[in-house]
Amino acid sequence: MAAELAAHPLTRDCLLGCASVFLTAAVLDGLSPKAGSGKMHGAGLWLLRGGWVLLTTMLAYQGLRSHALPIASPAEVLLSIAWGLSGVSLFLDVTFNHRLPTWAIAGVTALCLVSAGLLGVVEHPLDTTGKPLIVMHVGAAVLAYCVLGAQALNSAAYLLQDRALARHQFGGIYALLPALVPLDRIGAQLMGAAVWLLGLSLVIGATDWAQRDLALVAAPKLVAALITWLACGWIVVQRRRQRLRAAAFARASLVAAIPAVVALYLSLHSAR
Amino acid sequence: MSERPRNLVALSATHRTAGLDERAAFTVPAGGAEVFYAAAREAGLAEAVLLATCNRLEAYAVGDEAAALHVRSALLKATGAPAAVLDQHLKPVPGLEAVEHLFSVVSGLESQMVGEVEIAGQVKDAYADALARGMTGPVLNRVFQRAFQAGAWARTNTGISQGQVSLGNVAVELAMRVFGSLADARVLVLGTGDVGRQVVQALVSRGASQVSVASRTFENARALAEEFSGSSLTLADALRQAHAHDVIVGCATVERALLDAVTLREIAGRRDGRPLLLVDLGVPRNFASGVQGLDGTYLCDLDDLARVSNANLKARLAEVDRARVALAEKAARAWGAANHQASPEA
Repeated sequence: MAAELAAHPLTRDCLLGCASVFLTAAVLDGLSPKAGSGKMHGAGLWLLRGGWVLLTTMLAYQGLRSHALPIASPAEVLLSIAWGLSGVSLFLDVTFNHRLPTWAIAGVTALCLVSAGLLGVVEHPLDTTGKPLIVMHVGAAVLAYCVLGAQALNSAAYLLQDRALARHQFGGIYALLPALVPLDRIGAQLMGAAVWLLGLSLVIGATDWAQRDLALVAAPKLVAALITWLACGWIVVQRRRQRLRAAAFARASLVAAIPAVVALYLSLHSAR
Repeated sequence: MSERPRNLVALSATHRTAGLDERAAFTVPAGGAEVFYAAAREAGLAEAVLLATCNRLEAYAVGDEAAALHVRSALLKATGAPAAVLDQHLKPVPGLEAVEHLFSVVSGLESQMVGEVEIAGQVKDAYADALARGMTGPVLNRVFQRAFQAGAWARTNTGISQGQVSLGNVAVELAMRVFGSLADARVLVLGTGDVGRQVVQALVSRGASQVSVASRTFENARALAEEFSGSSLTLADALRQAHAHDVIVGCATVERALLDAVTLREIAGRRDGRPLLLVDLGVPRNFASGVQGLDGTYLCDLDDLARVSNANLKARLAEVDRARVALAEKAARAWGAANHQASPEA
């Protein structure tokens, strides 16, 4: 079956088509006249959900095709991050009744998909056969970056809402944002999850590193990932001690996203 | 020979031209209505109604230009406001225009939060007060009663009040933008008047379960709190424990702010970064306005609530236009009928 599927790789059109679904969702939600209600908002939300199912199918197809987790090339990693980001937001909505702005999530997901489409799904993915630790390491890292991405959006939404309330701006884009306290509470949970996932990824990566050729590990990537993990860990500890709350916590979370983006970029680079 | 049709004049100063602090300068203090009607009687006005709310100071009287001057003078005495301040905002509205204006006011079209429902009750109270003092007659009785009917008609037959626009609901909407759910939020309401009652009612109906009510008259606070299963506090205790609350709504009638800037900063400092929402529904202000820029502390006043409410106004604007046209027709009929009834031949 893998041999048959290998003859039909995911094309750029396929990725751009999926991106257009998310883009439409973002536009519909952005044009919605009132936050959290109306037909356009509902249509945007359902397109986001439908797009996520489509993306899941595409990733499953790619996994079946390459007979491995679809995280072996930059495009696949981007696809996985897009899937994780929209998945985390849908999970928060369903489980915690915390709806991040659909337009923001759908927009970022579409951006990831377009980038993956431009990079192109690699025809000869890395051989991860017999390297289960690497698969787990990359999988945990991808999930951690998804959660950090969701937290960055969450923090941006917090700071925008905080600014809106402080400056008495109640309409427009600000009406589309969730309430402050839930944003803060969910932010703390997301940051905690990111620390665990990134820590797990680092531990597994280190274990694999100890067992294999040391030169295989790209030092800049490792340093950036370590900085991200330490920053996130520090934020979580300060939060627990109640020294970093509300807007300060949101700002710190956004700062922690910078080394995360660098680490992600270096990871994509090393996956080539 | 028929008598010349009677004239009606209204003097109106509202939020349209006066900011919150200017409006505070011409509020009618306790006993002010008494002063107004005494002055009106002294000036020989047979029919006059005083309407004083947070956002408007208006008086309706039967008479001509001279009557307008007497009304102005009575308003100055009642409010104690400097003439320069009041004259800057007081607009005379004559005859049929005054009737149309009253119809629009009762319907909520002239309100800061277009379509709000409280104003109808406030006008009814003002009319009842004038009636009890014997200051209404055939013209104002007819005009006001028609205005109440027109207001009810406009609310029932047009969409001007879509979304139940009221101070209480908008204050709760604002609180929900900070806290999401009000189930865990500790709310303190200062003041037990009509607005205080509406706020408590709106809070409880939207899931707030920890509502405390405080008033200068503790009995009033206890009665309101018991009605909505909340707790009651004396005003002094409430101000001492203010830092323990997430939302503080001020709707008390005050001469100076209950919480000054220093106290507000102190309260914000004791909250360890937890958000604090201060909703000031009072004119004059219940809270000093100098807390902008404090992390996690948000202060909103009546003007802000109007902005929240009117953010969704576009959808109602067509209904507002429809209501205005219909109300103008009704006002013309009412004015014709009032004049007809007032003439001796009728």
